[in-house]
Amino acid sequence: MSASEPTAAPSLQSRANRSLGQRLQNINRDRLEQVITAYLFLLPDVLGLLLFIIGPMLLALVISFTDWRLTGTPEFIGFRNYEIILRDPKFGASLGRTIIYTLGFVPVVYTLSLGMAVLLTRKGRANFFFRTIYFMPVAMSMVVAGVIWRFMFDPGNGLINESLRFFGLPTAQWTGNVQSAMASVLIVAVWKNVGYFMIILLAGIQDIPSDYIESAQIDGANRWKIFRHIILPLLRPTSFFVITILSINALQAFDQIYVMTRGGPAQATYTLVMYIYEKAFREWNFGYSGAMAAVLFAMILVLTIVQVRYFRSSDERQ
Amino acid sequence: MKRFGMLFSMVVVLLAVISIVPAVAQDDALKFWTFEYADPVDPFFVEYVEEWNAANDLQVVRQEFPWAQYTGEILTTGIATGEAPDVFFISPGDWRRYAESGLALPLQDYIPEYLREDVLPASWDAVTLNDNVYSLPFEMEPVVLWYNKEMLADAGLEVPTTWDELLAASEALTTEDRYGILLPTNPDYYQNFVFYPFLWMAGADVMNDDFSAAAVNTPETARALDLWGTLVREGYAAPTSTGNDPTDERFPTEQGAMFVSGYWVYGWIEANYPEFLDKLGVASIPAPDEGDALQTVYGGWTVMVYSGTEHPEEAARFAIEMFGAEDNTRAGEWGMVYNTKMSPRGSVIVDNPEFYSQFPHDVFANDIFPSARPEPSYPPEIGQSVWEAVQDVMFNGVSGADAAAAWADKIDSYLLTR
Repeated sequence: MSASEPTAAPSLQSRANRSLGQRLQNINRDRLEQVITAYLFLLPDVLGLLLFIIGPMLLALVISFTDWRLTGTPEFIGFRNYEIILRDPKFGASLGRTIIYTLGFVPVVYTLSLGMAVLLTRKGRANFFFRTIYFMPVAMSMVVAGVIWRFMFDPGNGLINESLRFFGLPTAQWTGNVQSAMASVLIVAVWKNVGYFMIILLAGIQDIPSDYIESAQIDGANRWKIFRHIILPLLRPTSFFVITILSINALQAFDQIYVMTRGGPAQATYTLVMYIYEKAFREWNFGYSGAMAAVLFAMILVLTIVQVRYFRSSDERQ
Repeated sequence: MKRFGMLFSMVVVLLAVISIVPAVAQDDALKFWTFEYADPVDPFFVEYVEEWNAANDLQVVRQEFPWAQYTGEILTTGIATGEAPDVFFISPGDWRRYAESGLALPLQDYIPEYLREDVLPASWDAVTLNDNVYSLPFEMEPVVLWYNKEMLADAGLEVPTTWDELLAASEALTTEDRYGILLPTNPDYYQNFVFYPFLWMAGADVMNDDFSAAAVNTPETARALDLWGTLVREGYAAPTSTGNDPTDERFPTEQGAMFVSGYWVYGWIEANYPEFLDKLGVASIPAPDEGDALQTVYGGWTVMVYSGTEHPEEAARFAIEMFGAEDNTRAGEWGMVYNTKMSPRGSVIVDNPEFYSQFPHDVFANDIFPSARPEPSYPPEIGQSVWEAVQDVMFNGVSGADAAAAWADKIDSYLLTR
């Protein structure tokens, strides 16, 4: 190898590299601009998510390991708040009520939403009218809805008992009785939510290719068979989404119940989120409140994972 | 085009960041927080703040918040995030824990002598802790028995004066579309507030004198609880609330014959149901037995100054002059023009004899007020134990004695953890 070789070789090499580098640079610049633009568009959402969702969640988790009563410096106490949860009968009782609420809320809202979506699939003026009517409660403020329903549930002169009396049917105390209070708040929750999930399921049904349904009709399948063997299986992704969101909403039930009953009568409708709220904002026990919130978050996460696995495994079976 | 896209997205991001980053600039002004008052009351604050701002360099900025959030998360988060107001309204049930937590500025040294003498001693006692005043009382709202004169007359009933008579009247006045009596049913501080006079008149109290133990596990407590339990369980009292317990629309719309509520009911009915005024009667809450001393409770918000304020002198002066200026006109107008409330300043009643000789203000000034005791301020855990006992007798079929025993256990368990 001569002395000049090393000079000539790098020169050729560098030229080749330069042209490749330039090409790569050009490609990368375009790509880089695209990537930057994409991330910049995402940034506001990501920032919002970090600042208003993930940040506070992490902060709540940190607070859950402290004894913090609004004033003074939070004192680190390890898992003591979590130990208290295990011995707190109120936590267990409010969690139990939340589970009862969820078990009542999710299947009823899903079934009614699905039923209404199937009935309103066809196009027509009447269906447009009914879709609007069913969706109207969604647009109403929860506080306004709670107040209106409180009047309607009045055992004395409320619209519901008056109507029952008119038809000679037995009346109820509704929110004034520990046995019927949970059912009363569930009625309102179902009324308020069914329209929203109906729209989602309706969109899912309308996405199903009409060829499948027409073929089934030609083969002589009746409406029930079409629903059971075509619509329901093809609606699984939408159903999964709806059931997951419904479960999360139910486990976080608070505002409507707070407006309607304040958790009464005699704590019959006192849910876990209500307990978390009162511990934080009434008793200023932010550490314990944060611990309960973390436990609730973990439960929702586990439930969601279970639901994801169940839907995946049943998809694979099919 | 790509460059334009990039530039556009940068502008979007910039705008988004600007919109989500809270303003860091701090105005050098006093922050004054209240909950939302009805429109007719609002000019009171507007005029006072304008008057203050015209006369002082340090300006005041007033902010108001929805009632439910103000008493819940607004003040709490304000303090937790270092955004606490300099001056704020605080409920009589809450002032003590703010004072005990070091959040309230002691006002003892700022209170002028004339005001110290003018405000009733019981009102000062109600906001005093360890010989220091932590909040300024500016209104009193005693709880009474409102009744529909026409309904009682039609049923041939006298106004009940004992608990037996109250039960009998409630039963007689209950029909298919009307309750004999309306009591607060929501489990909250307001229910406790209305229940206290019943508890006290029975001869019981929530805590012992030195606040070291519960005082509720007694037959007297059981009797007061049983009265409320019987009224609801027998169907004489409405088991639900149709809205705001303090102003239950079922009373002026004649779906309830009697109504245990506060002084504010008169102003509310005058403004919203004037046709009902002719039927409106008022009396003291009945005593357990004939000859027993009458007693009631009075509530009323107070003004507190935040201990962390950078302007303690001005904040205290702003709070005091709002209702405690030497000229008591504004203090009087608060209760006589803008609201239906009594002033804790004796001079207001003395200087307005004409107003306090009219119905129902005369009844409040002469008959009700002398038997009124300020609303006690307990920690939230004890407050919750009160309404849980009341709810148990009303809705869970628990006897007064059992509810009283469970109530005492809850308080004593809480005291052990303090």
